Amino acid sequence: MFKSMKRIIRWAGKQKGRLYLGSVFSFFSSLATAIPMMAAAYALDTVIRAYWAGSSIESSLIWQLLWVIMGSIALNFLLSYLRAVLQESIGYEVAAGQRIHLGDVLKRVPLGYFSQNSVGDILTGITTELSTLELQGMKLVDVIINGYAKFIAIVLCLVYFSPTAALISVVGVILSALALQGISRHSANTAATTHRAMEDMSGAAIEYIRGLSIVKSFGREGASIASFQRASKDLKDIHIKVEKGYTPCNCLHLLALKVASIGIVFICSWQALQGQMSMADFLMFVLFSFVLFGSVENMNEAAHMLGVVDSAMNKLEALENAEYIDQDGKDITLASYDIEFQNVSFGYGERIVLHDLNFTIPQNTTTAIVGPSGSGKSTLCNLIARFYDVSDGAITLGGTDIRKFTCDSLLQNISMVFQDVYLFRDTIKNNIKFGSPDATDGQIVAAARKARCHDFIMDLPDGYNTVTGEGGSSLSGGEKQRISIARAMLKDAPIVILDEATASIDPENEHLIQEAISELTHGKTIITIAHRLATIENADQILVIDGGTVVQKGTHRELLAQEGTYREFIKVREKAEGWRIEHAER
Amino acid sequence: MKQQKESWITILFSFAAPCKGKMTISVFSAIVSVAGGFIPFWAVYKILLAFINQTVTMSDIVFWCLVGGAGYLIRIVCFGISTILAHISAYTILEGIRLKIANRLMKAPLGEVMGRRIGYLKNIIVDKVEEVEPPLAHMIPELLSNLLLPVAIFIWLLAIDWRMGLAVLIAPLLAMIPMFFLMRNYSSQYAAYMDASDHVNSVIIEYVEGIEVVKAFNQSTSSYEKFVGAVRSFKDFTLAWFKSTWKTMNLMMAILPTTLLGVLPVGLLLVQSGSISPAELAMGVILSLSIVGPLMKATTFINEAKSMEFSVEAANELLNLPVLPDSGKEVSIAHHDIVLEHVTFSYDGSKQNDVLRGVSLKMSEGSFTALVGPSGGGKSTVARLIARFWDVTGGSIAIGGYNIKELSIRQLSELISFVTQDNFLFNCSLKENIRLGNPNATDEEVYAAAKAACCDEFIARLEKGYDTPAGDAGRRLSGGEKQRIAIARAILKNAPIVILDEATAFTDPQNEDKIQKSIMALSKGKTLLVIAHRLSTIQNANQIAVLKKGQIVDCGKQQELLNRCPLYADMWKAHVGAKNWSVGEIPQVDTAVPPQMRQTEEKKEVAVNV
Repeated sequence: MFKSMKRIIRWAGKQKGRLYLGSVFSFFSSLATAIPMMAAAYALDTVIRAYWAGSSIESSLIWQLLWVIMGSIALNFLLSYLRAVLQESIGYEVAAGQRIHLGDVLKRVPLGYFSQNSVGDILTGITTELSTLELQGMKLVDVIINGYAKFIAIVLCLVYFSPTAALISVVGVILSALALQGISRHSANTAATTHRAMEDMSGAAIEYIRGLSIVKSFGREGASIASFQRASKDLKDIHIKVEKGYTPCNCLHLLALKVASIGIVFICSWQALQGQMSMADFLMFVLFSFVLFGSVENMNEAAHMLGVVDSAMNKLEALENAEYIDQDGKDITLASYDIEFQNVSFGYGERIVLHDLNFTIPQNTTTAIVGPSGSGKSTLCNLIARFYDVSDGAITLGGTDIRKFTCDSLLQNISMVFQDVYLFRDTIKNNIKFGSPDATDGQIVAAARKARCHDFIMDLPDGYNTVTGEGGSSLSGGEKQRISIARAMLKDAPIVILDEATASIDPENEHLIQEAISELTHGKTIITIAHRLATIENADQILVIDGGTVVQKGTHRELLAQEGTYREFIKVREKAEGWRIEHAER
Repeated sequence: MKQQKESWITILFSFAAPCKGKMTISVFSAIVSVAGGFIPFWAVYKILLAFINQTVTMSDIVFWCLVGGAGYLIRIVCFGISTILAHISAYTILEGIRLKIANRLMKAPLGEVMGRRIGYLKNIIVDKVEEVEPPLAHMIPELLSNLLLPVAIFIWLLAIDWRMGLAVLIAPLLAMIPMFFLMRNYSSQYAAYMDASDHVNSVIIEYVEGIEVVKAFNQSTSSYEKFVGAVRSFKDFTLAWFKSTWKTMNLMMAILPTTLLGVLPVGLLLVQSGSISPAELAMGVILSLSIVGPLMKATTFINEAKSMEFSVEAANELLNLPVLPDSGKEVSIAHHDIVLEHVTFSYDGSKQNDVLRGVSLKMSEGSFTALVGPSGGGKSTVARLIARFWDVTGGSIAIGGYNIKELSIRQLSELISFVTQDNFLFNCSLKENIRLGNPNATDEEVYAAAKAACCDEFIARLEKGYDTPAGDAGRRLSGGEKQRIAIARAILKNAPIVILDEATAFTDPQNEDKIQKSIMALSKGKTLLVIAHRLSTIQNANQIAVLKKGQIVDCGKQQELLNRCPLYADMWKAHVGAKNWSVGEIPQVDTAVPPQMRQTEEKKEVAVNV
């Protein structure tokens, strides 16, 4: 419990001082809540004495007590308000800072990080779990610090009046702490099972939704809902099992405290009977016995929450400690942009994808990469952009190993057009501007014109301010592709990496895309993963990749003259591009 | 406001039916627990009374302490029972909500469901529904006891002296003043907070999903502007809201628990005037202290109830999806002509947002129809309306002379094979994935379909062959291979109508010929409707319908359209131009005459199959 607390305090970082000071105020504000009770004990004592003496109490006493209670309310308000001012904002400020920081971290880790760690996990870490920490973190620390502080104050107070009562309260709290320990242990043990059941549920839900159209069209509704039903039943059963484990611990924890408070009543009564304790003190402790352990009870809920927060912290810490790919990079400016692969090998973990690649891509030439799917073409491009690091060998840019660059200084030389166009749910203008935040509107329009998207953008209801992906402005695949080309165009980097789109291109867009690409690649070093014959045939150099190695290298004419993969490939492509459906009527 | 609240609570409890017994026992235990909780107060009162009357003995103390202890035991044990039963009920309710949503998704028009992002749906089904549990499970035992207990105490105090009873209300009533200011715009602020929180999370998700782009383009600035902006504005919003509540909130929290504020002075006055005894005053003090805990707990439920309301309402959106009417009738159909008559359609049912505007088209049995036109013209919508993803807004669609609404949904689904680029494989073996097309098919039939769809060779390469789980194989299969499995499934289904929605695009360029071959096998002799990217694919269609802005501008054979439809001629030119773009060496194809197929072998094979 303390370890988790320390972590939260460390998380608060520079705001730590405010957190501690806030807890001090919180401690005194809870002492202020004890004042009315002391007043009541005092009043009762006076009343009883007067009763025994057969006299009456004075009215001035009543007024005094009223003022005392009102004063305690004012004091309590003031102190708890100060606590809020000091403490409550910390979580939000730290969490906001951390979100932004994590954004930077994620930008600088190798892409492999996202395949090793499930994206879903990363996302829940920086959304849901960070939110939990944001909302609960400070409150938890306060509850726990004060739980203990108040308990110590109570024990010290009790020791003075009745050491036996103090002993009983210590024993009670220790027993309840053991039960709390049980809760924590149970929580840690079951967290993984529950987590897995939740994941299964998510998986089942996604499969159910994704498969909906298929099961409907094949009339197999029953089969598909069965696995959904199973997952939700499993989840229910596990939850219930976990709950059944919790509840006894929770009850024991409460029971220990309640028995202790009855014990205190007993001891105080006994001492009062013996005349060892004054009537006033006895009254005070009997009244207090009902609320004595309130703060310890609150810690029960905190302990429950702490487990959740702890796992959130684990995830966030792992994220923050992810290794930057460019830890020792330098900012380097280049004179030439020749790219050279020297004995480059690469694998995702055990699986070798590329081995021993050697080739040069001279400045201002076009290189087409062809090969069957899964042969490592995209990986090769990702290596140039240093989304991953090579396992062996080296890639140099302008004669410098790309590992010597910072990501920033390397990538400022490279524009990329991805196969799967990703547009942010933002205005078209901002999507184009993404690569160069300082671009003027004039430059943006110019890039859009060159990328052949100005016209269709102007036809949209809000022009460049249309938000992509929202009602009525769904763009076709080809249109999105051209926006992503405009984005690359605006960046105007000397090297262009182009992963040619294979699907979802509307026919009337195809030539526009080709025009846009030729504008983009004009006078640049171009590396393209090509599927279209036209693109391939025009390249200065064609690299044929198969099984992770370069099997052929040369121009279209040269390669066509050779026996080999390339000639096969061209044959298949030509056939496919000219294909038409021959429909046989019955 | 009141109305709304009731509605979401009603929804929740409509799912409680299967655990009525448990809920009743849970509530009953909660009440017993509350009653048990009174015993210690009574016991302490008895001890005090003995002291005041100076009749106290050791055995009195022991006896009443034991009684008090027993009271606590009853309270805690019953609370435990109540809690467990409440959780079981709550989780049962959750399961019920999930299953009902799943059911509704199945019955709703497919278009309605597919219009929502999968992540969004999953979030509601799994996460939002899960959020209902903690408040729900705690509401039954705790809220109940925390409301009952103060009421019982209030009555008890009234019984001692009605003025004491009223005095205990002073603090809560005073606390209502800051509470009023606190709650004034609570609902709207809470809604705004949820929006802000959802927004910041969706921006983060977007950021991670687009991380390649972020990496490739976003260097100079420390982080994406929109991302930073969303995070900052969320923080500013929350802090501003919270700051505005600090004063009122803390004032309320200082006053509310101080029930002694009223009880002590009033009690003393009553003792002074001789209306109550000192022992009764002591009881009043004890009772007013015991009311504090439950009162404070009850206030925390305001927040929890709010969050529950939001979750239930999110689930409710899906629970209230429209249901696609199902005639349930099997109609005997003589032929499979598809006839669209003046079909209009808009997603929201309003006229100005029409996606289709009076589309009429006849596809006779066994014919091959192609839909072409600029993107956004409504091609896919036509195809989906035939498969009844939605119902038409106006006009009608008939198959074999029957309006498709008259056919049972099952019968309609049996008539149509719908192949898209979305090739989803279920998490079972490849064999079972194919067999989905026809559950009664023998293994041999499955293999034959797989062979026809050119799946045979790559499945044979897998270690476990046809028994490979799709999940394991999934990572090793290319898009094209998955597509061929989907096509094998459709071949096995052998429906008389085949709709290909952009299915011919090359998801896998190197294996495109195999996809093409499998499509030929699927569509052989069927009523075929194709939406294709590449016009060369569909040049042999019996009819090509050119769709623009929701209307058919022309319909005819390729040659007719080239001659008389400028839009089609332009598209054809653009298509042929793009194919041979900037290439000098390849002979330019004459745009007037469709290029001869280069794949003579393919043609022969098809001819043989026919």
